[in-house]
Amino acid sequence: MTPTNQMTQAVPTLTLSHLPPVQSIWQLRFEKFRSHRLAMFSLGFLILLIVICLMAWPFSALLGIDPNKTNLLYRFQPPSAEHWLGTDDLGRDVLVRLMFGGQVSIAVGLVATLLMAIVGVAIGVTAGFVGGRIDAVLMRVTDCMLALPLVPLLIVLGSIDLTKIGISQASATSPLFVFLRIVIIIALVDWTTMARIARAGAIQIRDRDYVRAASVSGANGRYNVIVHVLPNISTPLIVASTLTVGRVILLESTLSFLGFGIVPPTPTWGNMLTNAQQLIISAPHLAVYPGLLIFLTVMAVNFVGDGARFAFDPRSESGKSH
Amino acid sequence: MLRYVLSRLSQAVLVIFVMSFLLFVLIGLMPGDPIENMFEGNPSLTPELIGQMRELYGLDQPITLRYWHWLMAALQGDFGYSSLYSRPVLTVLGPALLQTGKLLALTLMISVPSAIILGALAARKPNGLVDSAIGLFSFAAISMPNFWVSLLLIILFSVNLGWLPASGLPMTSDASFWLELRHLILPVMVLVMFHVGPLIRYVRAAMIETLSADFVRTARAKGLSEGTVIARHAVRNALIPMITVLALSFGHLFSGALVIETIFGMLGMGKTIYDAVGNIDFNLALVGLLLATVVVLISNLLADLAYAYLDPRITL
Repeated sequence: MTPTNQMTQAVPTLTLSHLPPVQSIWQLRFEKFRSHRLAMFSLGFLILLIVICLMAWPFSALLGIDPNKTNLLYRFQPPSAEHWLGTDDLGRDVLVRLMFGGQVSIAVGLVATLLMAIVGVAIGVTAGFVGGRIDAVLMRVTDCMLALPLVPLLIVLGSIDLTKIGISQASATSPLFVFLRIVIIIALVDWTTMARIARAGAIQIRDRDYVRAASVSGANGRYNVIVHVLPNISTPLIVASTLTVGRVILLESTLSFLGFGIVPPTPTWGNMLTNAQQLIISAPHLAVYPGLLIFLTVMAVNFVGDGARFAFDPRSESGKSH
Repeated sequence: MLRYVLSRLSQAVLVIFVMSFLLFVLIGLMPGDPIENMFEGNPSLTPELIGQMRELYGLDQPITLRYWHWLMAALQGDFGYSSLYSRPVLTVLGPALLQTGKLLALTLMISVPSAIILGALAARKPNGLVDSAIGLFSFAAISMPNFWVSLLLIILFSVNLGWLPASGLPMTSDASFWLELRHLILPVMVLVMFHVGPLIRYVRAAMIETLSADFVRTARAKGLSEGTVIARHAVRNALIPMITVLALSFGHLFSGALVIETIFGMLGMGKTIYDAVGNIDFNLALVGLLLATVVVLISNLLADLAYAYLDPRITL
């Protein structure tokens, strides 16, 4: 700004500049989130990880490596210029498989969480807003689902022969179908947390004066849900979703490790560990990388969730991390 | 009280019926066919014979009718045979349940006290150094894939140091107590890690809330030492709701036990269910899953009753 400008605008700017700049709620939350150092660091780590995993295509093309091509003459190679992390028990490049596996694991986490959020919110808001018998049934169902042992249930769901419910052999074994299948079965057993949160929020909002006023003015249920309920329950849902992503990644890797999730040759961090136990004496290092990546990713996701919880909680103070 | 127990019991029974039907349908959708599994690779089996066998075993009937027959038999105590073990399923599941019971009991005996101690320590100075360290530990414990931790511990303690066995717990009852304990150390370590993370976070939150309550201030004002205030006044009050959290964690704990039993080759409920599903043993998988559900539901019910018993403010 030139001095002349400042002179002419002196009067109005002087009064306004004493007020703090106007910040939206999202700006405030973002600032609080930024003050949670661990969450910011984790977010950076996750973004970097996703970028690296997406580099799998150009990287493998550049080095001429096929992640699924086995070569028994090159088993258990130590790290080299061609194979940066060496090769596994079937002569496949470990680094490239880790990168492709990361894509699968992270994608399952995100897509399944999105699906759960949609299903959970639809059911939870309906139950909370309508109440009555639907609500009672839903709460009983979610109570049971919370208590059930999920992994045994997922194993049965994962072993279901899709041709028995009328899906052709070819499509049942296609990679997209295998991906969708694991997404759907995880969402099927784990949507209840989201539904409970959405229901609790809907019940809180349902009886507020402004919702009643809207109803009296002729607003129907759908209007109230979209305009009043959904924006008000978005923050707890965002926090819950973040933590769910971590849980889903763990569930997927457990299932794939046990052989009931995503099956080879498609690599995931979980199924890369399936054979690790047999190779524990000859090649213990193969057991380290995939698990370490699962661990770091889930931990980073959980820290981001913790940061989001902190940022969205109006009672928490900026500058304190817990 | 009695009314409450009865209503909870009837609810649990209803849940078990619904679950049994759902599982019956799901298990029927597992790959393979029971008749073909039974006579695997028998060349003299003609399609007509298979048809006759289906009729004999009632497999040509609609699923609701088959479920009805299964249910009637089950209610009379006939849960069928395991094709994998060629024994009645209950004689397979009985020892397995005992094995898992030992694993879970040992785990709880370690994870609950350590969660209380660590959570209470963390709550003494929120955001202090101790709290941050314990917080980091609980986050790490929550985020660790338990199968990976198992592999790492096997590499360290069994392969490199050679201190502890990685698998092969003998199922015979003549295994000595110490031998069995040695086999349980690594699995219990992993399961404690798996279980303790969320519990620590819960105890910490409950303790922070309790420490700001009026009765704690009164206790301090009376001149009680900080240790007495925490151990005798705060912890006891903060822990009653923990029973509910513990009850809800049983299902989760069972899931963990499945993975860990599979890795360490322990013939508990989890590994039995895993083997049954992997080897398409329809009966064993069905009854095993159902038994697991029943056990988890009963522990939930017991925990709710204990909660009401321990908290004098709650009358049922």
